[in-house]
Amino acid sequence: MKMSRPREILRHLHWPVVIPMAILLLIGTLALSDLTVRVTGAGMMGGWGIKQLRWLLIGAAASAALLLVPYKAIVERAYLAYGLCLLLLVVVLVVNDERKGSSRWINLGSIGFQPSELMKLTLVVTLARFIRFRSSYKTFRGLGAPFLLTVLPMALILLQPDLGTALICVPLLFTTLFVAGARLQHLAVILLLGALAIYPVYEHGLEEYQKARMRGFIAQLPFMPNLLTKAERKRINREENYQVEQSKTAVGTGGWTGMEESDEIARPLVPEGHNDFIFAVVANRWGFFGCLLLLGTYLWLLCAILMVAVRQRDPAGRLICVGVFSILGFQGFVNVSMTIGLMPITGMTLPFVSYGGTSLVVSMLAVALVSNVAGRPSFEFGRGDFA
Amino acid sequence: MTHAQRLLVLAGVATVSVLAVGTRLFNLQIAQSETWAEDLNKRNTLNEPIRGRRGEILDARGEVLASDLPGYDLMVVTAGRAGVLYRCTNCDHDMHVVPPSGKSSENQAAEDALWTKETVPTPILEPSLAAMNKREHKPYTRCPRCRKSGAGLFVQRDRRDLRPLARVLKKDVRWIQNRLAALHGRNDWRVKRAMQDYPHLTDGRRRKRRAAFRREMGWQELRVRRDVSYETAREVTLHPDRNPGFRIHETPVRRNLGGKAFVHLIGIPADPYERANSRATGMGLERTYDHALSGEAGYVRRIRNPERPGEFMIAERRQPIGGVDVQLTIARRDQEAALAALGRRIGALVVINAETGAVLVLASSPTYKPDELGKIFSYVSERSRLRAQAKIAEKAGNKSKADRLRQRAQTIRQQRRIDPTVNRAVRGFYPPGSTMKPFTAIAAVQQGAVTLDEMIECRKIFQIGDHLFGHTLRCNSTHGLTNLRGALVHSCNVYFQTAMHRMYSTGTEPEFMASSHRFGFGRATGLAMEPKWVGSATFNLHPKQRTKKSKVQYGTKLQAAIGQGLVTATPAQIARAYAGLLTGQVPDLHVVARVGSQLSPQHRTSVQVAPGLLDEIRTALRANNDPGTSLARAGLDRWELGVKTGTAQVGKRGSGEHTTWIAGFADEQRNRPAIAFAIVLERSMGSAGSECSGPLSQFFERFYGANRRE
Repeated sequence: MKMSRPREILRHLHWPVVIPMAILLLIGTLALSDLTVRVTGAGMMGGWGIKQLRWLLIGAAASAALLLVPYKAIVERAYLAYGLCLLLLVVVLVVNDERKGSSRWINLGSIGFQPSELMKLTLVVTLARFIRFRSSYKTFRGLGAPFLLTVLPMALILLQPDLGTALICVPLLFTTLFVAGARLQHLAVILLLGALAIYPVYEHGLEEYQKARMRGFIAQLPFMPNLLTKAERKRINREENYQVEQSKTAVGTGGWTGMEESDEIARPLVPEGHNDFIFAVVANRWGFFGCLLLLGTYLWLLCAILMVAVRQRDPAGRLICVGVFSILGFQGFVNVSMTIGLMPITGMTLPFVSYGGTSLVVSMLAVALVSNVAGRPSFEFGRGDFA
Repeated sequence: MTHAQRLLVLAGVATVSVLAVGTRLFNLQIAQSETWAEDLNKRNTLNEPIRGRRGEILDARGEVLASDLPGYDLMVVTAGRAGVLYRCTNCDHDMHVVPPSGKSSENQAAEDALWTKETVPTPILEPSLAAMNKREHKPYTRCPRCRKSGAGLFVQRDRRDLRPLARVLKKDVRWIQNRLAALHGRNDWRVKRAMQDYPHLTDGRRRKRRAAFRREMGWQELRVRRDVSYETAREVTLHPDRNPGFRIHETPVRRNLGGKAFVHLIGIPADPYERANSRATGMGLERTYDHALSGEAGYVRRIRNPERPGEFMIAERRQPIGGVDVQLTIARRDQEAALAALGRRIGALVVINAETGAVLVLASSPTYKPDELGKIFSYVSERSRLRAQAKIAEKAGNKSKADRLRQRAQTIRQQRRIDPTVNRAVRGFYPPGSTMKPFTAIAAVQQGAVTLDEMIECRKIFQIGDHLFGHTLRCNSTHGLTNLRGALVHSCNVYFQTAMHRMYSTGTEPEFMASSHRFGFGRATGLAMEPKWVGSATFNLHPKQRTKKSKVQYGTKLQAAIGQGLVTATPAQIARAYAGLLTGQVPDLHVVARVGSQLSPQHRTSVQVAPGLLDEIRTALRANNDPGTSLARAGLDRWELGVKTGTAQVGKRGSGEHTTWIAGFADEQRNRPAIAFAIVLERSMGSAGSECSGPLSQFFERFYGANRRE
């Protein structure tokens, strides 16, 4: 019996992951509308709020389309998608449409498209495709191929430069390998080598503004005030930690239920409040309770994705879920942490909440992919249950 | 580990991460909520104080001693100095790119004529920014002065010619250039600071915003120098073509109209502009009564505009309340008379109302002109600089240069010893010498060490048993058998040292300290300008002298009887003590008669001495001014005075330098109240009678009038 397309889409929707995503999208749209009113003076439906709604519709349409295609068909074409994305990343570098000091976008008329965002999702599927029936990653040498698959797009993304997106690839790779059954000793050795490379990378691999962010982060750590003079701390906070200080002020003044509208004092101006620092806006607008709602919803979403992975017998489907879990989880954690001064600033958006076309669409596609996996139970078995 | 376990690990990691973030959020939003709110309030609010009229300081007769008068600040608009300046080759007329307010030469001449010292014109303001931009780079085709036109008439002139301004400022051109460079630097810094409110802008918009800020800052007025001369104000205002970009702002400047006579007393007000300066807290009465004089400052409170976060909008404005006037107890003519009498001598003269404690004269010499203070303070930095240079020269092996520099630093130090900024009347602590003797006498009689009629033999040198105190405890001549009155008249050291020795022998010397304390020795006079340590009544060592090795010898202790050794007092304290001799009450001193409409409180304490004893002392002191005495020969017998002279050796033994005193009192006479007075002169070479009586007589001549005693 052939079902109509909307009914087919609904059948493949996995509500435990869709509902928390919908809540997050609602929070994001409300926060952006509020910010629009406050910063630009436009109405609720002007500026970022309405643009976000537009992207939301595009994302919903793309997700619906994705739900119609069995995920296995997508997995089968993973290498092709990977190659296309690599090509797009090269095109980005060639076109060199610089905005805010980096070239990340390809202009499609009035819409800017960010291939690096799409690359994240493609990498999830590609790694799943590569690992699903192999066991080579259990040897140290065998780890080379998955690493190569990851490092290649990372390098291209770093050239843009987009450190935040590039960094997401690292936990994605490690989480996928970890769940696939790679040996912990091997992963630990690689992590140790990575830790040893931190200083040379800091000295020679980072731009000056990135170094300034690191300095700013270190300066605001709790034990640093004893090592720095008051004047140094003041200078660093003023010049290098400006964004974090503003963001922390916005979060701190939120209190239990958020800053009152009637407050005489203007709310703190959070730089990139619609984008990377949207969490500060939420914290300022709805306070500690609002933050708990947001974080709780994230936890709900992540656990729901993991539950899909647990129930999934198909190794590729399971690895897709784990990959989506890692990119959403890592991105969300890093974003919130940098907003409250727990981590240095890296340009990462908060999935579903931050304003950003490609990022929003890709995040929705990721959840749609998980839903696709959950909605199409497989009876294939991997080799030895990854054990 | 099965895949389910591995997934469980991931779920655990996610939960721990969320918990960590939640904890941090709780800390920020709940535990530190108030701190962040306070911080935000600070950053989003600007308070600009508005100062009201500062009250005046008046003398006892209502004459103004300190007031706010018009002053001129030299300002510069840095953007106004950019562009081209043209000179007419026919008449050498310099033209600003904007004509100087379009005045004809006749009008200009008429305005020139108005510029006299008596009239204060309103500065001519340059045209608005819009007008400047519109006309910029559009040179004239016709000279506005000679009306000639034609090609090649105008030549470009360097607008940076600062010579006319430097001439009237009496400064080097380089000084002005450096100042302008500093102001430019400050502008850059302000632009950088302002840009911090716009971190979210894209690069293009950031560039535009920065350029807009630069333009805006460039048109803001910056202060080049405060309180410039009238000539500079005239030059800049009348010749904007010669001094492009410069303007004059008329601002009130605090002027000490009392001049040298009142400079110690009035001091300088707190500087509202230079907070980092050590003198920012002010000096003298301007500092003590700053609160009353300044009144209540108003303010303009600005908060950040929520719609345009880079801008601030006025939230509240409060008008200031002007300060009240402060009237002194000192009349200007008396103070100036005292200073004139002291002349070039180093010392002080204090006259107080013996009944009320109102200070009538508080003169200290040397003094300085109010506007010379900066020069005097620069001595200190000059000396430090010389010593540092000497050290460098010594390290470089140039010993002769180092010695020369050290010698110059030493010379400056010696000059500082005669520090004109010290108010010797209340901060100069001197051994009181023989002026102490009446108080020793009172203590000795009260303790029974001597009686009024008891005769004690003076053999010139004080001795205990066979031990002679030949070097320290002695008289200048042999007085023979003498009683208390005779001892006071002849100022017999041996008599009072004997009395002191007897008090020590009977263990009653603490009563001597208590008695002198009741007369105000080692006790604050009540004047605000007094230091924390107020001298010593007897043997209380100065904190700097208190070391483990400090051991006061018996001879030194006995010297307290004649006001030497460790006893120190200021002229104000001595004058107050003599007021106690006259009235039996020691008043607290005050120099301020009223603050606004509120009169200063008066307070007196009893000296607890029998009236008969005080009569005896007063009689003895009046006898010192009888015809035939040395003081009478100096002319002091023209007034009814009770006086005591005193000399204290303070310099090196054999140097011949003394501190000389005359202290005393005068009954009510010639429309003047009963007074007590003290005059002290440092580095005197002669006796007290010869050194102090002249200035004192000269002062009383103007204080009472020159008539003979009625």
